Amino acid sequence: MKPTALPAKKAGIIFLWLLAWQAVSLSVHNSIILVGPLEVIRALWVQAAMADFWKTIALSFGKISLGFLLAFGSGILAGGAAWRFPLLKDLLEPLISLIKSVPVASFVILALIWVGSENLSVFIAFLVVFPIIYINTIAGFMSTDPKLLEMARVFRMQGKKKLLYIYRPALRPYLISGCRVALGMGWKSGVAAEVIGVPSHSIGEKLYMAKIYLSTADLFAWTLVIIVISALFEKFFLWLLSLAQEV
Amino acid sequence: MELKVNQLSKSFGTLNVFTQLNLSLHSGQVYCLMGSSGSGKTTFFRILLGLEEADSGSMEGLKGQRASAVFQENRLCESFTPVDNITMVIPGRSSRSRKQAKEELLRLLPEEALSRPVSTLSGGMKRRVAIVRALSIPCDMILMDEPFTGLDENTKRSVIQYIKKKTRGKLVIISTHQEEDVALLNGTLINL
Repeated sequence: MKPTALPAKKAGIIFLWLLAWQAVSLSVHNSIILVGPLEVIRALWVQAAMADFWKTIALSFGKISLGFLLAFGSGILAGGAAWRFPLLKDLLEPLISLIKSVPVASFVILALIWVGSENLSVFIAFLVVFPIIYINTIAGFMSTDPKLLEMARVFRMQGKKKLLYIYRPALRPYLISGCRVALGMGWKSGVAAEVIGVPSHSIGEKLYMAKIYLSTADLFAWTLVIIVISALFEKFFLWLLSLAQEV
Repeated sequence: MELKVNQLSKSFGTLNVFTQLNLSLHSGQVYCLMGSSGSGKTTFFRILLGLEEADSGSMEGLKGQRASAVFQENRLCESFTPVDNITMVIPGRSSRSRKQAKEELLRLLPEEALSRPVSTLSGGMKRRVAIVRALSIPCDMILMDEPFTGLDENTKRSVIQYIKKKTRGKLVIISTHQEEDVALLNGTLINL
C-alpha cells in the first residue's frame, strides 16, 4: 500500500464512524440521550465565540499541566534518589503503593478539605502522575547496561558525563512510555477532580453544568476539547523529551 | 611501571580458570596473551581492571596506576557518534576533547563515519572506535581483549601501527588467538 493511502484510509474510517454516529443520533431523536457530531460542532462553535471558553481552557490546562510538570520533575528526582539509595526506596514504597491503590475520588474529597477547590486539579494531577514517573525512573535506571557502567568505571567517567551518555539513553524509553500513560491519566483525573470540586472557570465546572442542564451537546463538546488539548500536550511534551535527548 | 603477579588463582565454582599464575610485566613492553577460549584471558584482564577479585594471590605495582581497556565487546554508547564516545571518557572540557577525539578517530576511520551514530557503523568500524577510545585517555597500562576481531588484514596492520605509536613507554597487554600478532606487535608471548 502507498504511504499516502494510509491517512486517506484512516480518514475514511473516521468519516464512516461519524456518519454512523449521526445516523444513530437521528434515529434516537432525543438530544438529552444522544447528540450527533453536527450538534456537537455547533455547540463547540457557540462556546468558542465566548471569551469565557478560552479562559476556562487556559485555567484548566494551566493547573493540570502544572500538576503534571511538578510530578514529572519530582518523580524523576525521587526515582533517581530511590534507585541510588535503596533505603529511601524501601521507605517510599508503602507511600507509593498507597497513592496507587487509593481511589482518585477519595483523594479528591480529601484534597478538597486540604487545598480547597481552586488548586484541586494541580494536586490530583500531581498525585496520579508522580507514582508513574517515579516507578518508570527507577525501572529506567535499573535497565542501564552493566557493561557500559563497567566501561565508565574503568575510564573513570565523570558523573555528569555518565548521566548524559549512559543513564539518559537508558531512562528515555521508560520516561516516554511513562509520560504517555501519565499524561492521559493526569488529564482524566484532573478533570474528574474539577467535576467534583467545581472550581470556577474550569472544564470540570462546564461538564458539571452540562450535567445539571442536561446539555448533552455541551458535554460532548467539552469532552472533545479535553481530548484535543491532552493529545496536543502529549505531542508537545514528547517532542520536548526527544529534544532533550539530542542535546 | 612494573607489575608483578604472584600466585594468582581464580575459579568460578568448580571450574578453575587459572591457578598460581606468576608474571612480571614492565612498562614499554607489549605482552601478547595467548590461550584457548576459556583459559582465563578475559578474567585476568578483569582482575587487573579491578572488576573481578582473585581467589588468592597478589599483584604488586597497580596502586596509583591508571588503566585503559579495549573490552572483548566494544561497549560503546550506540546512540552516540564516535566523537561523542571518545569525548565522554576524556576528562575536562568537551570542546577541547571533541577536537582531540576527531583528530584521533580520523587516523583510523573515514570522516563520514564520525558524525553517524555508532549503531550504524560496521563491526570493524566499531572496533576501531573502541581502540581509539582506549588510547585517548592518559594511562599507564593498556589492556586489549582480542582487539583485532572483525578487522581485515590491511586495517589490522594500520591499527597495529597506531597502537604501537600511541602506547610507547606504557605497559600493554593484548590477548589474541593469532600467533603472527606477536611478531607484528614486537611483543612478548605469554601462554595462559
